[in-house]
Amino acid sequence: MAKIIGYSKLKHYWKVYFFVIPSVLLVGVFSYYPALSAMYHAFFRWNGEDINTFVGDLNFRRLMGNYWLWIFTFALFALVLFYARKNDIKSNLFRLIAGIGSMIAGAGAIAINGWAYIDMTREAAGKHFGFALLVWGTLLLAFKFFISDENKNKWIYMLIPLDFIAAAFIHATGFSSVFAWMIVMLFNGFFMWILPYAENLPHIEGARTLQSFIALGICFWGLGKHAGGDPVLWSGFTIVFILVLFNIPKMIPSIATAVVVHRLKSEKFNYFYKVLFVIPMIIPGMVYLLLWKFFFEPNVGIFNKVLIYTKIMDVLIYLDHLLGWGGIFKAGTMPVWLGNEHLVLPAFILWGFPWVGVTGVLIYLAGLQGISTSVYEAADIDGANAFEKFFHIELPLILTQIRINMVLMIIGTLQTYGFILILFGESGGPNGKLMVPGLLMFAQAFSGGQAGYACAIGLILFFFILLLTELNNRYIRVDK
Amino acid sequence: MKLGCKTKSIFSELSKHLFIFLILAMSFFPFYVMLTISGKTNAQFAGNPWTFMMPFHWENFTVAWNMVSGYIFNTIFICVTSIILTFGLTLNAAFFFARYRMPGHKALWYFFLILMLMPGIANLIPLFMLLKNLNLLNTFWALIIVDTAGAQVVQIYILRNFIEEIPQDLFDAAEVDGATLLQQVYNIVLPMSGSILSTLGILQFISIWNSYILPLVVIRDDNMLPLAVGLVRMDSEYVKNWGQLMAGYTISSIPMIIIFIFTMRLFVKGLSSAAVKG
Repeated sequence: MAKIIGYSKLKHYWKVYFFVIPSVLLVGVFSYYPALSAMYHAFFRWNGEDINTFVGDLNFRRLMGNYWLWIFTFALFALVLFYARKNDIKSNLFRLIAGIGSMIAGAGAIAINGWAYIDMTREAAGKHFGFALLVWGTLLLAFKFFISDENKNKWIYMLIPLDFIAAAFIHATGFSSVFAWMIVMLFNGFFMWILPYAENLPHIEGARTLQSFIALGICFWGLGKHAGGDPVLWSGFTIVFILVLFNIPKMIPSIATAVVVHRLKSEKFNYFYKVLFVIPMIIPGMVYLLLWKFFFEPNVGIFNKVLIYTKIMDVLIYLDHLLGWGGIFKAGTMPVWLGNEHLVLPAFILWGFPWVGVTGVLIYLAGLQGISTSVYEAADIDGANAFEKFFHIELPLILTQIRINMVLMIIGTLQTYGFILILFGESGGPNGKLMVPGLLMFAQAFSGGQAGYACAIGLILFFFILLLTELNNRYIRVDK
Repeated sequence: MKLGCKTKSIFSELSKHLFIFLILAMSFFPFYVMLTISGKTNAQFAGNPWTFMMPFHWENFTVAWNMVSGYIFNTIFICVTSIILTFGLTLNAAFFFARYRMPGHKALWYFFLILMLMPGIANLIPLFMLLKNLNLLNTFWALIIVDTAGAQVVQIYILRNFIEEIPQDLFDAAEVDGATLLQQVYNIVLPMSGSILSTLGILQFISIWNSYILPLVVIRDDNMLPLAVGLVRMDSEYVKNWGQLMAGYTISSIPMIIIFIFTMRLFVKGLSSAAVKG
């Protein structure tokens, strides 16, 4: 065990500190100093060199718009969390009243603030009030799902209004209502009905956690759109949000692969496949990325060739004709996947097919290792088929890993911009379609000459990620 | 499966293998394409994009080697220097945390641990300015130092757990023999931690091999670029000779594959354990 050294013995042992001082210095200078410096400079108009004037919260006002809305939302966020977490308040009715009361109070506070301080017309203030109610209703619902331990199944039905709100938000941000409903239904269908079935209803938490994250995402995102900040930033968050939504089903192939590899009888093959799955990881990521970029090249690329070869292109052309996509797919021309503003997001979503992440597979395999063969034999005797085995034996065991992976994926997606930077440079793709927040930060700092503004963007991202990490640590338990 | 009949069992095993094979085939498809095209001229590629083709143009590889070898050596230099530096620092720091409870021990520990939670996204711009003020722009040292600093936390965390498990008797015996603390680290800890260090080294190697954004903003000279940035620069030239590009990609994958062949077991174990910690 470690030697305990009190202050009295310090005289003889002070030299031991020299073992850690170099690391501390290094980390302090190259990790802490930049972080603190970013926080400091977020309040400055700074171009990185000569111009450096204190501007107060101007950067944040430019980014977030009316941030009374934000402040109150976060205050309410904390409040709702507090109410929902108080386990000694047994009465659901009390919780509900407290929640709704705080909601109305908060919305009113915003409306009054907007009216009184920001020269808002009364109508606008009224609109704010309505909007704030909506937002907090969503939040409240989200946290109901997050926390309430009793009546698990009943609460699922409360999600229906949540879906309307979600769809309304997606619609309000400029997408067609069909698309909005598609997304909502997709996720509802999958996570509310399949996952709970999967867990056979002993722990719906997984589904609820997910729904809450999605609701939370929609909530902040709607808020960002509404508050009148930098529209580029918030449409960037929209893109991130869509990418996150589509990244979730992309986790399925890894899970399926891990389960199948795990079920193999022979240990040798098990190891053999593990090794094979590691190989894509050791190919440099940049090579993989550039290969996929090459795939999407319109004339030489493989992707269009595969589409034509498998006749999917004909289907797409027919669909284009049928649904009036405006000639994105036309007979005789090759779609420019990475150069067309309508195609670049689908291309991004298809990127990396079949989406088997090596680390993902290995994480799940590690989680599955605990299942002994006798469990499978018992299931066989009971006559369970492969899917039942998956839902009753394997899924519950790797649920923790799935959740952790999911949160890490969300955090990762929030931070990614290197990928887009490589493909399109600082412009963010055709018509700035893929201008994600990280890229906006990069562009503002290195070519816009607005390093202070960029630091403020970085801080907003930082804050969101910290919030997610905190939620992850607090609510997603790692029980082994 | 003892109860089921044997043919059914074989069939189910086969279907599993088939599934894995399909997934693997799709995962490896990009690399197959890379290899096939690397031996073709543009005309050959236009004629037949799918399969290997004779004559296989090995000269693509010679041209590509001239393009990427510089980048590869730069990256290897950065990787090796940074990994050695990192080990030098983290072994000592982990030894400090594992073997001694000095006053301020807890505070120092949290000093490192908090960094694990802090997202680094806001750091880039001030970091760039800092490197600029230190006159490190356009040098390898900028990358080496930042990579070393970035690897500290995780490695200290893992190595601390490892060193704590080494029996105290060894250290006591060394102390009786009059070994200094540094000697204890380099004669007891270092020889014992071979496998864990190589896993950590491999992980760091992969991350440096793939790092893009910092080198992009820090390095200006073309002959000093590390691999990732160099490949993108190669790709962005206008007249594209796909065969040579793909040969370049192939060559830049080779060093990693060589390392992989020698350390296969460690690699799989390391990635699994890192994944679990993830």
